Amino acid sequence: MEPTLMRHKPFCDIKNLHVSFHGRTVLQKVNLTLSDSGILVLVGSSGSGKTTFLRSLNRLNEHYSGYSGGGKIELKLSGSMQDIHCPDLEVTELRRQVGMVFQTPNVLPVSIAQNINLPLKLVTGLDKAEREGRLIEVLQEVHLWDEVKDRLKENSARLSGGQQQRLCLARVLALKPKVLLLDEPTASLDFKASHKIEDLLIELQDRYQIIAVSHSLRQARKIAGQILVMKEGQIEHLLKKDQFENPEMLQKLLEDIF
Amino acid sequence: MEAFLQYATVFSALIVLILFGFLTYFTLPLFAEGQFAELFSLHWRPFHGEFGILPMISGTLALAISALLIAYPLGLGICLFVHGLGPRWLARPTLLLVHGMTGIPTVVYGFVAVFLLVPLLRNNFSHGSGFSLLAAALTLSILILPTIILLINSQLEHIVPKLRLTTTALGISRIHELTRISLPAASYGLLSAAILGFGRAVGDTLIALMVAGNAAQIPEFAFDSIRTLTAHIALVVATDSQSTTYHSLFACGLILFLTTASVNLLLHRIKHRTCRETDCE
Amino acid sequence: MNKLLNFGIYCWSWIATLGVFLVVGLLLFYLLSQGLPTIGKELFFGDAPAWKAILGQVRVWDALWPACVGTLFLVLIAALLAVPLGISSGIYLACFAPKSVKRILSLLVELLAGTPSIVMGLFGFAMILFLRNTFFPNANTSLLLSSVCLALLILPYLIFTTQAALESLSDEYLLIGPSLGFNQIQTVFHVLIPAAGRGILSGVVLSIGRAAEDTAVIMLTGVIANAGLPQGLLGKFEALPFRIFYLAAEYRTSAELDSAYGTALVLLSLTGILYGGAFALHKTLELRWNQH
Repeated sequence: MEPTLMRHKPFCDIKNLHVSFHGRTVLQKVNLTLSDSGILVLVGSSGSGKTTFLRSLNRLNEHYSGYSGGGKIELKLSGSMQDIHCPDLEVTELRRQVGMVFQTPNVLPVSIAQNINLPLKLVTGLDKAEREGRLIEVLQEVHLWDEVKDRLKENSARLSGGQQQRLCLARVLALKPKVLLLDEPTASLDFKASHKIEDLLIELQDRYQIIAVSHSLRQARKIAGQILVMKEGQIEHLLKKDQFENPEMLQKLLEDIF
Repeated sequence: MEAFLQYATVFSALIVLILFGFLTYFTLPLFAEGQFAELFSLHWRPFHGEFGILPMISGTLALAISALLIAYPLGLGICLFVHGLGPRWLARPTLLLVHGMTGIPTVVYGFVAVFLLVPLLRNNFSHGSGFSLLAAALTLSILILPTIILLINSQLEHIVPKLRLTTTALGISRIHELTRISLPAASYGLLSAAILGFGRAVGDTLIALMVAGNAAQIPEFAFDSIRTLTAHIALVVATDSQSTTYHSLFACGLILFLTTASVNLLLHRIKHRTCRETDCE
Repeated sequence: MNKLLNFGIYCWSWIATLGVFLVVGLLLFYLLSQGLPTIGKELFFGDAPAWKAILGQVRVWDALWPACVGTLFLVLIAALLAVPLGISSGIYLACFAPKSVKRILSLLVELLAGTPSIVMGLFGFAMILFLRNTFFPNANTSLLLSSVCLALLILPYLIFTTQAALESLSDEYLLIGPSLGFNQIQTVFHVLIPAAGRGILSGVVLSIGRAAEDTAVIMLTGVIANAGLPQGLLGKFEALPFRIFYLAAEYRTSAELDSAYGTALVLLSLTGILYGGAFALHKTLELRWNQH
């Protein structure tokens, strides 16, 4: 089965992607063309390969020992489709353009401002004034500015979990990515903080191509433009908005996952 | 930057090879001069041209083994105490005490032994001065005790919490759980604690030097005065300066180095075998 | 029979634990009761006026001051030599070394860690003999030689603690850097090292404690009983642990014995503070990472 959705322009084209760690297959023969129609949400039981799929897109799997894999992935980065394994594309540059936010908020053990400043300084080489501007811009973008503008020099570990996660999001946005990967971004947050992040993602979906792993169907239905169901390292379904809003389809989805 | 770090590491790693080279280089003349056989004679009488180090080798072995024989059961008992045989509120203070013991300088243990333990032995048993194999073994056992406890404990810490709920639900008593299930599962810790404890006992200088009496003779009895290889090196460097005595010193150093190196190689092998079996790393 | 054995094991665990509490308690009580009364200006400076002694204007006899200064210099120079090398090596092994290389290098460092300190001292002594026979006929044991040998002794500890502090960081933490487009060097220096900082620092403190207490190394490489304040890097020196050893064996008067008790108490407090500090740093590190 090779699900495609050609209603809008494609932004991601995957051919024969396979990944294994220490000889154990995690993803097998994934063929997929994704088009730009809102947030793409990955669902599936644990061990179905969601996180590995996500990390294939910014080549973060290669950071682990025992990795082996292959296949071709093209992403729409600067206007045109680009092969992410192409030697002309530095892996650090790829990861800058394909930003990632993790399950637990992993702020750096420095001040709030430094969390955004340091990557900017190291990766983009912007001057001080530009960095200041970018800092304010992204903190406003994630609605954190009003909460932290008076304590930018404070240690970021003192923020609440939800604030930390939005700071991590801001840190990624500051690097002006084209694609945003989110690995269960609300898994470690409480109900209220999760809602804030979800609303934020809906706001951001026009500016960035967002791909998120979610552990909650409620969340998937709320934010998704399309849902990708994974099972045992393969793509099981690709559902359009009208499909998963239909109760019958949803029932089938539930059966597939659990 | 990465290259700099790499050079630093290679340099750090090479030191031990350079050390080995130096010790061998200075021992070599003994072979050339045909004095190697004399080295393994029973008598150390430098002024008569006799440089036997067998008494020191046997002294080292006797002391290390007896210290281990005292410390190991103690260590095992304390580990069982911490993991369930003692009251829960005493477990943490006990471990804290053991950690604290690692911070007490060796020379302080030796010092207190000289003024507390040695007179005690001298006055209660009418055998010599009290500076003896027994006194040194008792003191040394306290020195190596934390090493043994912390190694066994670090393994039990992983094993016991996983098992406790299951075994309790099965109605297995605490003592059966510890002796029949947890300890056998901690065999790597048990073995490596014994090996490392022995290695530390062989390598210690100060306690042997201060408490064991330093007579170069084969030990036959717990109250005998003995001399270890380590103490021998310290004593000879402090007093003699003949070249032949020096060469025999380096032979002592080489023997010590080879012993502790074998201990570490053995530990390394056990660790990697355990790793392969349990699929860690 | 089985019941009896179990009861025996149970009793033994109590006897062993209480016994160790008793022994350590006795040791501390003995040192405190004998050593505390001797603590005072006299212990440190003898008959000499304190300020003049500290400024080095008068020579201090039969007192602790020269040994304190000796140990301080010894430990500082050893740390200065070993800390940069040890931390660099630890970083390389934890973050950069390919697996096969890492195995060999770690094994060699483990062998160095297992080397008895008297053998390290003998190595220093051998270097002097070597230098005498080759380039410097006048080479002799000295403060510098002792510091170098002590540095070699504490180097493996520094490497292991640095490596362990870095390797104990959580998997996700290792991914922050790459996910932001950092290269490996940037990740290590801007993300991992700041996060592992406390663990590395605790290793440094621990190794300083180790250097301050070791006696066997310096015995063979330049410490003597009545050197006074260290006269430069190539001079002889005094040190606290050696003073304890020396007085325990060679004391002639009860005043010297009292001074030995005082010295033992001072050294014990010093290492106690250093080890306690290292332990506390290590614990706060664990707490911080367990909060996630």
